[in-house]
Amino acid sequence: MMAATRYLIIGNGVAGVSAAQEIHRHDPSGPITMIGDEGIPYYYRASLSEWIAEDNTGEMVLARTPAFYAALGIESVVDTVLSVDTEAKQVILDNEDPLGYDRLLIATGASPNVVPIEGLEETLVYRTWDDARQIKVGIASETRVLILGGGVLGLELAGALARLAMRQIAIVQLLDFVGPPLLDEPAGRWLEQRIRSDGLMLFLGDTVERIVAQTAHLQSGEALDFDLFVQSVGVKARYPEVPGLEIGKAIRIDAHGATNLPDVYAAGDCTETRVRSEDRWRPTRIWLDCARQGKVAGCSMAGIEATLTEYPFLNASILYDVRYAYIGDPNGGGGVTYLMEDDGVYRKLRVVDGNLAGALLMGNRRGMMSLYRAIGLPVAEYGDAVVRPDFAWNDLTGRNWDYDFY
Amino acid sequence: MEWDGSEFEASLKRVTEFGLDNCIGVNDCMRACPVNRLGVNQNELDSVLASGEWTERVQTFVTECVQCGDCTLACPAGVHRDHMMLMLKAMLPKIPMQWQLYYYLKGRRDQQLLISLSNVYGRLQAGPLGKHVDKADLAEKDLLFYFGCYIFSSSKAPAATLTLADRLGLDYEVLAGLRSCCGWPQYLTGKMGYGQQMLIHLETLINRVAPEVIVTGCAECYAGLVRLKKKTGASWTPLTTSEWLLQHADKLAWHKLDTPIAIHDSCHITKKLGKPDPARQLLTRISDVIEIAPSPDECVCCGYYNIHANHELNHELHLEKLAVVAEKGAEAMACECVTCWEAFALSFKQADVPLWELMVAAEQATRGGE
Repeated sequence: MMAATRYLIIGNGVAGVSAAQEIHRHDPSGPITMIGDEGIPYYYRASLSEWIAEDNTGEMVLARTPAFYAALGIESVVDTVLSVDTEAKQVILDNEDPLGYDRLLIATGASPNVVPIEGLEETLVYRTWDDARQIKVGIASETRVLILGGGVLGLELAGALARLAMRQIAIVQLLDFVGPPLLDEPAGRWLEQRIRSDGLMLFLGDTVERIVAQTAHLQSGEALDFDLFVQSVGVKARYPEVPGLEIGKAIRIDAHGATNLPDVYAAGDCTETRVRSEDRWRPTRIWLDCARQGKVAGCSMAGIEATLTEYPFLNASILYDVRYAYIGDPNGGGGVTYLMEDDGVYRKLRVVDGNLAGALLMGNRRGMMSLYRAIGLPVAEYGDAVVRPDFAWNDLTGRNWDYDFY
Repeated sequence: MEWDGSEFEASLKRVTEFGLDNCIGVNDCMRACPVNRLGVNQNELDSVLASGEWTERVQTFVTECVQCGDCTLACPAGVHRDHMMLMLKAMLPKIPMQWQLYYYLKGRRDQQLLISLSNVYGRLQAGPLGKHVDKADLAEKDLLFYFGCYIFSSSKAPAATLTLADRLGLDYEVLAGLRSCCGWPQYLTGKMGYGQQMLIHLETLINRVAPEVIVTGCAECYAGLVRLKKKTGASWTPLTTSEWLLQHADKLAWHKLDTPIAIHDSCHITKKLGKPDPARQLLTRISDVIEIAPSPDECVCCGYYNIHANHELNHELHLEKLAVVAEKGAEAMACECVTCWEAFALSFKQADVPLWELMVAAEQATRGGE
């Protein structure tokens, strides 16, 4: 009898767990080991802000129950992987003995960038469970918070803190509008009004030049006192040292989740994938993409044919306190753009050559999943009706038993 | 007999997979749930979906889910949590006895004897409308009233609807009875095979009438018709009774009641199919309309699809509804959907608060004017 395949997954996030689910589905007898360096099970990063805002308990941020891990027979190891010896097929750990594998998945995610600032000794970032815990510990109602970075994560944190009614929340953003890369300038201006009307301070086209004690001196000459300083200026892929592994800005994977090395797969924020149509490598950044990559890699590892298909981009979540959906390519140049602005609502659709190219919905997202399915479909005959929330997408997205409610 | 629900199941599976991949864990779905008395967290549901390992809590919660869709509206990530709940209903290791009885009574075409016996009783119960119950001779008409299994209900809406149609001098056919059930009650309790097959059978019945318009007063029948039209590309147009009557409203003389009436929104018609307005426009002709929720989408569910599992929980929803109706200064409430009306009827009767069916109210408000 052949010995069971030993699966080893480095990383305990969405890509790693999605892979484990597929491995277990297709090869239930193969033992799965997951190595994580945070010491807690798989959790939802986007839910950390709910924890900070005290809408959720810390336990609710966890994505799976202990019964799930038991059912899949997953062995969890808390340690940091220093390197991978692909010749000997083992990973070298910081604290424990090396671990052998038959198939390896690297799903180590990304780590936040930190901008060096004169006078800054240490800084908080906003990415992990422990980052969120430190921010929670650091805040009280009298706290003055300064966030460097008005991108997606910075605004998520600001939105959570705004719900707690801090004494002062200031955002310093290098670009002169908030919310990139999801928002373009007009959409950023729309959100900016909302943020300012909540009493938050926004410094756009500005940055922190130096810090003296508890005062940040901005490039614009402004001086801001703060109690808590958090940087949220993007992330970069992180991964252990693996000799011979093909890396661009991140680990390069093919459409099956495989790297250039035998029996070594990768998925999630630590990877980049080839965009054939544009002849370039694209870093993985979106939760949904990480989950899909993890599933494809998990299937491949278990010997099941699976391929990453190119599908329209979809990102739906909360930006500051606004529910948004970013579908396809709403911000590209060319085509016709339909815009609808109403009280608390911003909807933009882009139509190129008569076909739906992308949508950005904020405030009112009715039809979002139908829009996702309708990317590429001809919509020219409907004119600007397509931007209205009550447009009947149900009739447009093909005949099947699916029905696109909401 | 196992009925094939493979297309429904495949569609549900796709939505569930997407939900598992795209859930960001904010738990807004479970906070929005009107029947989450156990305080179930979304990670418990996803763990069962991803591993197949059931817990008592999740089993209980799955039987209590009313399929109102509040979870899905609340989700920032576009996850159809209500469909994921439906998947869990379909996966339930132990189907509650009440549901099993329900399956036998609602449109099991393989239970002909049982249905025939039920129809004898049903014809008596339906009074003058009894002649329409599963009748064999369906005539070709442009206008079809589709009452499905609710012709057996104690609801007075079917009779009122036909009275209105007669008052308007319209020519129509009626399709009703257990054999023309839309399959939605089974679908909403996770029985995909029954749901799919009943809907396919319904199409053959509809084709015999070859209508241009199909009118129904039940939100689930309406949702089933919308889905059937989408699948088949049929040329007929499904309308709610409110939409239909509005098209003819100017031909009737309306006498407005002097008491204001609160409006209850059906989850399927308002939230899921986005049509909150027709019922309001109609009620405006009957009385002053009192809104009981911040927005139509936020109206709390009648709880019907939990009625067979947990009466107590449902009654709690109804007490909340009665409280908000009183608080807003309404002396009565109106329902567009017959299912909502059925769910609320007993609790409102006990509280001595009038509960109007929109068609019944419209029929009364237009009497003597023809």
